[in-house]
Amino acid sequence: MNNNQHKILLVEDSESIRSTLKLALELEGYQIQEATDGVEALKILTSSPAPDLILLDMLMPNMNGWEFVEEIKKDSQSPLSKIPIVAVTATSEKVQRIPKQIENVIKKPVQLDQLYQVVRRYCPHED
Amino acid sequence: MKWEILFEQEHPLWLRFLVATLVTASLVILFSIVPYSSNTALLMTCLTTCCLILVSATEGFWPGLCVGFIGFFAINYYYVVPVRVLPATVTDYLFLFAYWTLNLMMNTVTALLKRAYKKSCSSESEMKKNRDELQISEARLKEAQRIAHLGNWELDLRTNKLMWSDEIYRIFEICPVAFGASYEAFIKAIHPEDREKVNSAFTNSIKSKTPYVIDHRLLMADGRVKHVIESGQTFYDKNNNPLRSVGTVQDITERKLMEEELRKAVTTRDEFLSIASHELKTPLSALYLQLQLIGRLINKDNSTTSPQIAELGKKSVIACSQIIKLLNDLLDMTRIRTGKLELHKQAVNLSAEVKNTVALMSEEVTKSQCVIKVSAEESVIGIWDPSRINQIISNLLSNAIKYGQGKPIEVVVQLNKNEKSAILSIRDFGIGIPKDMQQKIFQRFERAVSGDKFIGLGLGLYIVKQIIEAHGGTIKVDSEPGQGALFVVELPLQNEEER
Repeated sequence: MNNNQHKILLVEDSESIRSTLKLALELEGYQIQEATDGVEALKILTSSPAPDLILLDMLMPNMNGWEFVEEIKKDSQSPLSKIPIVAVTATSEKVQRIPKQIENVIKKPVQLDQLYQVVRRYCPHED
Repeated sequence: MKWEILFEQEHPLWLRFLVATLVTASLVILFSIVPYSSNTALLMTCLTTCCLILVSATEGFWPGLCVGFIGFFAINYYYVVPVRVLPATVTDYLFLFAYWTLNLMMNTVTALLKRAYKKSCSSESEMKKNRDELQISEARLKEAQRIAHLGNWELDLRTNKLMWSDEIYRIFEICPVAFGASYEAFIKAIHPEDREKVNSAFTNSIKSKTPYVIDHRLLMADGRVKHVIESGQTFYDKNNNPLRSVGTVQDITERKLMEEELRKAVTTRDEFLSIASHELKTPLSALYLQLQLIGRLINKDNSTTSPQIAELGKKSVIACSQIIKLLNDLLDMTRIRTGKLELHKQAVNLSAEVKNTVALMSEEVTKSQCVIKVSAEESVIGIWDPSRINQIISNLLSNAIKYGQGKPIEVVVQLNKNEKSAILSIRDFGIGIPKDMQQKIFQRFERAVSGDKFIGLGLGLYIVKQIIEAHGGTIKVDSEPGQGALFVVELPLQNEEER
């Protein structure tokens, strides 16, 4: 079950959801980095090797999903802008429009099967 | 005043003639006592005349005539020379005839006078009666106005004279003396922020010749604010010049305050529901994820766990997803109630969405033993909110499954003939909906069946209807109990105002 240690950045403000998602993904063999908001996520992105995928909650304090996407897609030449982003969000959130740059959406409450399916698309098993 | 009684009284017939007889007898006795002279003759004639007038006036024409007839015959006998001789000559008869003619005239005149007097009396008393009644009804009106806090006014537009009923002075808390009665003075009594509004409502009403009704505030001298509802109407002359305006003012402060309280209570409730649902949502989402994860771990390790635990794991995931669904319904309801239901529209193929939803619900369908038959046109594309459209489809479908008793379900998607709207119809052949419930099911917390058999808050169809209406569409139901139900949704491909 080694996915060659695909690395995923998980940005989610709710601790309980974040830790469960982390566990679920780690069980599938992914390596997880955690951030509680956009600001922290940016810090991680600039200080460590780029992940293969970003799972992004949209409604967060400090810097929300929309601001975060705008920030990293600002410079289309930067390697950061190439990282695929999947939004993890409730369909009926207040401001619902998902930015165009986002590759895919996982609806909250998260269905585990759907999560694995989507993640596998960006971080395929190598067996 | 006491004399009036004499004339007004209607004595019985016998009494009237008894009086006449007594008076006549007294006269005849008097005549027989008083000896003749030229003076007494004149005096007695006058006396007889007076008596007959008096009797005529008090007892009526005929008793009067009797008195005169016998009285003057006696005068003729006692006081016309030759006295104490029955009329024998022509002269005697001429005298007698003259007396009787006088009698008749006197009686007639008296009767006429009496009738005129009676008439005037009765009209006067009628006027008095009317006056009294008017006063009573005026008092009643005042009382009613005081109780209803409702006053009326009248403005003469030519003289600018304004009349207020007492209640208006009370509502405005203005002393009738201090208040200069004119339209301008009236405007001054209104809350400064509402003056313009009231003024324009009134002037527009005069111009457009339509009655007006307006809510506005009054500012009291001590800073209190009152709410009144004011209505008025103007009357015009033949050349359409406004003559006078009349209207009412009602103090509705208490009602306004109560409405305000009620509104606050409702807002608080909606806010509470919204906050509570939101707060519950995050831990529930985490719980849902955790339960799924547990289920997965159990499945992976099925050699060591009992099948009961595996079954429990599955059930807990389903229970959790049901709670989340209920919570989402509550949230949607609060959004609808507070006008925060936002639609994010884009091109959506209704046929594809229906097929998707049916596929997603396959597990539910298999369990219910229903067979869903979808007949959909290739593409029925409209500008709608995709997630809300999905909500409509899945709500109606899961109702059909829930109440369908395992019988087939028919789903049809088509373009309306005018090609301006899409039609989605979902028919089941289950328990159906009683006629009296068919409109109620679209209201909040209303359900056609008791809550024991089928779970739910009774919000599903309410939310569906609200979403459809937010898209400018309609939903109709047709059902016979025991024979199933047909729900028909019509959605305009594009909303009118956005076209």
